[in-house]
Amino acid sequence: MATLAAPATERNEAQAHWDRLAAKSRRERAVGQGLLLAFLCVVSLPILLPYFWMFTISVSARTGGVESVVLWRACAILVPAVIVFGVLRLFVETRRGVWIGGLAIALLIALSIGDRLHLQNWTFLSSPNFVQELEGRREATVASQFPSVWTAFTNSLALATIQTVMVLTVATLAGYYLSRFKFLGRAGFLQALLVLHAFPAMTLIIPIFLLMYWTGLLDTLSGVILVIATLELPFAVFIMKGFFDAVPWDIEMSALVDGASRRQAFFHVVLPQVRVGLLAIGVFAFIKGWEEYVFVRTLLFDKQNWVMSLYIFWVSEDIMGVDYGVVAAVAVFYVLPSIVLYLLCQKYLVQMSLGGIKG
Amino acid sequence: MVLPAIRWPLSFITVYQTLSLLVSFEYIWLITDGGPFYDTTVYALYVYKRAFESGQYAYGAALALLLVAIGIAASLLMWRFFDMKRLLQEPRIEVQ
Repeated sequence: MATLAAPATERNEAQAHWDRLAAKSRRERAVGQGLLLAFLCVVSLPILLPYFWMFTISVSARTGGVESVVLWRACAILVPAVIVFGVLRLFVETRRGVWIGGLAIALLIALSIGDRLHLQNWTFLSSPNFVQELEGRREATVASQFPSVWTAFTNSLALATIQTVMVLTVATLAGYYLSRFKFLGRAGFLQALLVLHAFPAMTLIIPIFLLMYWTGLLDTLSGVILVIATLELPFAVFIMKGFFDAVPWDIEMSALVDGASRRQAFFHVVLPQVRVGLLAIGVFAFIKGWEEYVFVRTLLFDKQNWVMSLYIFWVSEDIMGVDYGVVAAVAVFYVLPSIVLYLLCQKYLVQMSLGGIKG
Repeated sequence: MVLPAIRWPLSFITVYQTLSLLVSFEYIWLITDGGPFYDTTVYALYVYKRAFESGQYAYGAALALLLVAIGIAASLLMWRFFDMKRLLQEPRIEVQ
């Protein structure tokens, strides 16, 4: 009996020891993750706060009055809610618990500030004379000469998409050639691409203005599209070259051995491999075209040629002071396509690994 | 082990961002406008003020040329230092 009892107690002790170790590691992991989450929250606060201000002001600020009750109340609820949420996530494992927590926070927010929210600042979407309607002024304002916001929106969209298509086409072909073919001046070309970025866009404004004037492209969208696409190209070519370098030679070689021509091998074999690179530079080029301000301000004058960045600039340049509610509402409208684009492409962008080279 | 594996994107980003930041002035201009009596004025902001606000275009162009020369020299040095010539390997397919 003694020999049977001894291993049992030893086993129990060993089991208790393992249990203590497991509990300790779980505690340490929870504390470590909690600290990491807290650090990330604190560090991302300067980035998130302006967006939070923008969204809140666009639905709550009134013309002619400055009040920040909505802001402070929303802050007072959201900041503890996020902390509590983060802490709860460590303990609540089910999705239903997470949903219930989110709904509780939304209910709290709705109860405390729901009655002060309004959509007056969003009338710029439907009527061009929104400033007069908001402030009840009889005389003509600067804003009564604005074009409709939808004109600016379509101009912006056309600018960004056409520029993206141009950059994608040229950068893909250039990257493929730089990566796969040996031509005279290849090293110099690549070096020049990198060094050309030393020229700031600011210093090139005056020559570009003169060029546009002499070619007759001033005050047209095509001129601006050409300029922006040109300035975006070196970066895009470098990225695409990196992605093409990561595609192994053997794939292409076997496609050529199987009887494909060089062009067929490129389109059917190599190009699908660099799909992620195409998406990456597509998103970069689109965002750059969407947010362009310097060149559209210099090269576009006519009211029908406005872009969204110009629209928001002129909305905030009112004579009687800035109406922050309207500016915030226009800003939310302006930033929405970018957010939608990022949300759609997020999954693919995270998989991107800037394309190293294979020796 | 991780850093040598991302050597090439790292070197490209270093060179590219160095050149970008060397000539950046938009945010400095927006936030401090040159600072209390030129305390936070950077080179590019000084060029902008001279060229567009004081109207001395030629002087601004000369200043910008010097900045560009510094940028080119820095990027060439970094090209050598990071050995970025290895980005161009020999092509192995000779079929046209």
